[in-house]
Amino acid sequence: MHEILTLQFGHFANFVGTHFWNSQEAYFTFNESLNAPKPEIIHDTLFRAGITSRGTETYTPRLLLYDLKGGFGSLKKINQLYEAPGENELPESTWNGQIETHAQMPYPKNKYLQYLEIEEELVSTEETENKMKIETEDFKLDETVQFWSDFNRLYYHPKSINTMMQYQFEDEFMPFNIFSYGKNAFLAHEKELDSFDENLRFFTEECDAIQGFQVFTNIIDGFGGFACSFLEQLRDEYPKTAIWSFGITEDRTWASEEQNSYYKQILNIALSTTQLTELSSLFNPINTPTINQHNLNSFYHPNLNLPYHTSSIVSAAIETATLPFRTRHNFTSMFDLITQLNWRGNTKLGSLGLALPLPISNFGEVDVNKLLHTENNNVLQDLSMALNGNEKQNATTILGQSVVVRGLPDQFEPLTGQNPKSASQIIAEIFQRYESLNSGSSSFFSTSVAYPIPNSFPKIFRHLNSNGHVDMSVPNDKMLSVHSVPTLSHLTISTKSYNFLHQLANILQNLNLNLHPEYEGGDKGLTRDEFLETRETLWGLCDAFEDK
Amino acid sequence: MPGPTISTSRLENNLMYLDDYLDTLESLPAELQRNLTLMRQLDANTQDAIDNVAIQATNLLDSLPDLSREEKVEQLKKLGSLLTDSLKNGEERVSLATSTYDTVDRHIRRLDDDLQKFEDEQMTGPGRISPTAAANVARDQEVTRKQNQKNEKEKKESKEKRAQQNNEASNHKKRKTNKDTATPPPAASRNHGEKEREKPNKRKKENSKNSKTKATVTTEKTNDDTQTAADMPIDPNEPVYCYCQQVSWGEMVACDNNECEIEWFHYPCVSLKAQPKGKCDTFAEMASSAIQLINPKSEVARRGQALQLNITAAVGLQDVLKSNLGPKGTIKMLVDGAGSIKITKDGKVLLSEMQIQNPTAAMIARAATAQDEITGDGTTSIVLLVGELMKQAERYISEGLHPRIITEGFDLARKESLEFLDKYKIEKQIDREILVSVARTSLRTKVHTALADKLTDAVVDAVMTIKRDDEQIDLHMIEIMKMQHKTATDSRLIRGLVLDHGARHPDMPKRVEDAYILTLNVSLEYEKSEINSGFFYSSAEQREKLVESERKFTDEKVRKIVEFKKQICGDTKKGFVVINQKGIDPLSLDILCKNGILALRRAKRRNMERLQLVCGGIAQNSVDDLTSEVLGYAGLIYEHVLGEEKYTFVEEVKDPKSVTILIKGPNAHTITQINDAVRDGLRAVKNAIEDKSVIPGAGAFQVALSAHLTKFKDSVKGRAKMGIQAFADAMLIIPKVLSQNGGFDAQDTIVALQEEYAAGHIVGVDLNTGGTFDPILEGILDNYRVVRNMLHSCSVIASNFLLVDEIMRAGRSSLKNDNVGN
Repeated sequence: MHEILTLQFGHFANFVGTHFWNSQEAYFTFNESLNAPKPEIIHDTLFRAGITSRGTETYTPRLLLYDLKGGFGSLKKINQLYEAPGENELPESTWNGQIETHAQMPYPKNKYLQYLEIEEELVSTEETENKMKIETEDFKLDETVQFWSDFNRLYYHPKSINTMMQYQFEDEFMPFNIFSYGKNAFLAHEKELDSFDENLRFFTEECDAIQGFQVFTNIIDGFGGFACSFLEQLRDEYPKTAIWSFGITEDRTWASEEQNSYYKQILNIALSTTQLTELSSLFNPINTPTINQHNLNSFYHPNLNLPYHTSSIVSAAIETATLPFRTRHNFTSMFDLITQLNWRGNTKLGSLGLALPLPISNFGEVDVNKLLHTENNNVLQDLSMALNGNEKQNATTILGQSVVVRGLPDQFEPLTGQNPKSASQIIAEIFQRYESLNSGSSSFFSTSVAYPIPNSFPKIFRHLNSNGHVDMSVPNDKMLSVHSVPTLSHLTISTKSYNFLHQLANILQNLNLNLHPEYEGGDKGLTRDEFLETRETLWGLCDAFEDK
Repeated sequence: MPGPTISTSRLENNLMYLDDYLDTLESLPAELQRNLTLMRQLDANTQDAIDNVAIQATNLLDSLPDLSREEKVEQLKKLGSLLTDSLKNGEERVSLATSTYDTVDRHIRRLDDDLQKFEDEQMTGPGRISPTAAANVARDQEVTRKQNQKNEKEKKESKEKRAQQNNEASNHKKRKTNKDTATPPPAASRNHGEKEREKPNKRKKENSKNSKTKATVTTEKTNDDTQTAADMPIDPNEPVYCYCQQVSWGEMVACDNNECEIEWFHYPCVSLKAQPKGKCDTFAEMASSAIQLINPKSEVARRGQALQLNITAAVGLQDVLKSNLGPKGTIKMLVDGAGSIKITKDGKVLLSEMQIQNPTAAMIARAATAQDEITGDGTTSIVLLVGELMKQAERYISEGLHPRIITEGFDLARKESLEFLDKYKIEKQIDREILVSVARTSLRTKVHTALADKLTDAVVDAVMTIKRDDEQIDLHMIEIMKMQHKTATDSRLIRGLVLDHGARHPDMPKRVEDAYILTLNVSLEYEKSEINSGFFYSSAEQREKLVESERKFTDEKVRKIVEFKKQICGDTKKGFVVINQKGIDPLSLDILCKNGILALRRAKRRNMERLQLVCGGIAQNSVDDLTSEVLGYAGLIYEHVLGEEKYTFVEEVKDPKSVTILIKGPNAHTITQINDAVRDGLRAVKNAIEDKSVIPGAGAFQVALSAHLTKFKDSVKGRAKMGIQAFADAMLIIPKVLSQNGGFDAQDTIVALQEEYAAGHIVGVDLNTGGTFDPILEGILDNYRVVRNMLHSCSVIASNFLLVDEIMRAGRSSLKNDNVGN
């Protein structure tokens, strides 16, 4: 057993997480027969089997997620699975005086959540006919998704759900937008609820041989600080376990450059970057695709203003890149992969790219050259963080890279007059191309398991058939039913990160901390020394990533 | 007889008037009908035009592929012109409607006006008006009326003209209708700012709308509308302006800020005497607030208004928490948007659960919850006191007293109260009986009596067990363990430790008696070291070797523990338990199990400390050199399983210095509620021990203090007295609300209390009778430090808010629309 525990901090991180877990659920096969081949994906890595006090068996993610009060939509901490029979009873057992009820307007469940409820009933009654009918329906998720819970398909363990009571979601009066707020909030939260000892421990205690933690966190707001404080404790308790953090920023949330809040965001990111890099085994800053960066890959058209869409891309990238940790064949542990990539020891900052889909036709036609990062002409979406958009990219040196290719069938249909291509040939060709880029260490991984597309995934694909293969004859229709797509992820540790770090350091060099007094308050406020240290650390990181 | 003559002449007058009025009224129905018919016609036209457009558009779409580019453009242009036509129709309709409204309005005004005059006449009394005078009046009236008529006719003409202008007006103008239709108040003078310079035409039109004669803004006083408007009864439908929310009167000024929601202000309300020069945002200039210049979206409330906002918020918050206070208060059940339930009677919990949107309320809430952090109780009381202090202060401020004088009084009162408190407190040997009283007083306000009494014993015994002479009490040494199981009254104290996990090996014993306990912080997991990465080994064999040596390293540690166990236990039947803060992997578990050792992994960090206090022994960071001194002892260790949750009880220990309170309840929210209550109870007991004194409860102290301050007031010179009186009065809110929540008449109770106190007794509110009793005899005792902090914080918070004379807000939502609570 090589368990992985997932941590999600922040609203957008939870959007990403929800897509991630929905895709995990899509791997499940409910085929009970003994002769069926064992699934390629080992679900126990991310999920745990449990049992409720009523004796119902459960299978829930090993997950801790944190969001602000009011950020959960219709998601209850104690869901149907774990609800006690008398959960909603009036408190007669503790009070015999008067009872006053203050009920908020129930958060309305959208069409999709209603459908999930119906589906659940149907599964229990095994009426599959009706099920087929519902499947083709359009849930208008683009319009109805407001919170991440609006497209969530899973039941979570009550200990997974953590609400931060000090701040409210989208509260103008007391916004959670400062790194130090997060650090102080963690202190207060743990004092009150001790989620580290109570909830994290609950999940880790049952793990026999935990291989690592994967962390999805916001870094543009207070959650960066919260995550840093959490990881500090985690590192204390698990000094050698691998921690892979993804600092995810929704491009939409950036303030314009002239504004004061822009500098706060930069400062948040700088502090998170330095501390998360220090605390994690590998840190991946991720920015969702921007309009000018989005190179109009003709096969997917996300609406970049919807967190529901942009998070699905990030999730697909993370899901694909972390696939080797969960497979039955060619298993690589998180620890092994990270140590292999970061062979220098001081380069813990990664960049992530994704080809969604890996454009390949039913006949195995693929333009391998397009998969590489070249000027304008690539299908590989670069998700790494860059400030000020398009600074001229110098030639980069790749120190370590991990390429995951997935979802190519063993055999393609033959084109007329040719032998059918086999996947292994194509994969070998792809790997060869990437190998040639590299001057450090490389890890290649391929599997036939494609990236599953559950019906909660946004309808963003064009010209793909149901297996996600390119087929220009497919109409350019929004409602394509794609069940899975082949993808390629490209994780690199390269000198490309130098630009991002250098810009951060430069801005911090000119930043007047006195203009941002919010950072100082509280027990965990930012001191001047810490600020200077952060700047030094950034320059140090720049050195490590400089192309020499 | 003079009477009849006069009445006849008055009757004549009235009849004349009636005729006159009917004359003017005659044309009204016809005019209305004409307008309405016209509108209907226009409506029909528009409908036709729109249908036409729809048909054409469909046709165009159908034939789209066949048409050439020019044809397409032409078609589109055609469509465009059709749409423009229908737009014009619409505009015409709007202007017709406006003019109809104006006509009717004019008639109503006239009627009102005349009625007013008529009433005035009656007021002056019949006797004093001679027939000639009456005739004169009538003549005058007629003249005015004729003038009025003339004016009105002219106005009507101008309106019509304007309507025509409107019809011809361009789209650009139409887009501005927002401002136009929100008809500026009749007597308004526009502030001639930049805006006006930008669109001088538009502004002139607006002016001419008010009156034809009103050529310049400053002459509008001659407008007859102005004269009548002031004496007009207030029409409930008439739009209101300014932040005083009254109809338009006198001179008014418009805000140049487009975002401004109020738009029009009375001169006096913004302390203006003349029209301001140059461009300005009214607010910005009035408030002379620099912030506003930087951020025009910000909003400012000043002086009286700011104070009012704060008082309203404080009182609002008070209202929310009021019903909480005391053992007879109501419990609150909060249901959130997802349907989750939270049940509480604790002010602090309530405040942190509520979505408080009002900034003042939120600040009071934060200050009050800070109290909870210091003393563990008293949040509700603080909120009540702050609200009441503000309320009392308001009385004096409305009479013209400056807030600063009040706060000076508060300050004096606070100092005096704290001194009084020190005299009033009961200092005596804190024995178990007193602690039980204190704990019971606290717990009975949180849970029902039977449960409170059960928890009281647990709480007091827990603190007394962990208490060490001359050492601060560390409540962390009391573990609170929650079990969703059975009922709340099954909660109990365990003189030992309950761990929330169990053995992870199926064959390990579920029950061990007479056992040694080894607490460890040593990883018994096979862990990879940094060098063990793919990069450093060149062959599979080498890798295997590395793995093997790592494994050996872990096994060695396990072997040491096993040997130690054999050495200690020998052949006796004594048990051996390992409790490790770090992990133990399955292989290690297996070895330990085979040697009859019960091993628990990943214990809570804090439990490592507690274990040493419960069982004795010393936690080890290494398995080298283990000796018998490091071992702890427990008579009984057993496992309890509830669903997926495992619990391990460590009991029958010698002289535990740490204990566990086991909370049981049928569901999560009950458990949370009891947990909150137990925490408060523990704090109360701890406070009492550390204070070495207690305060009589049930409002007794507040009554005494109030009386004392009233006396003290006389020794103070100057107006600060009033602040002291306000403070003294505010203190009574506590016994008042206690009595109210018990269902009794607050005034009766207060009077009874004050009388009894005057007679020299210590008295509190008896919630069973509504009368008075001696809280000391009844065992109702509060914490000294809670009361002390309460006195201190409530006056500081209230003073701070009273001294606020400007509230600014930059953001979307308005200051005025904020509500307290959810």
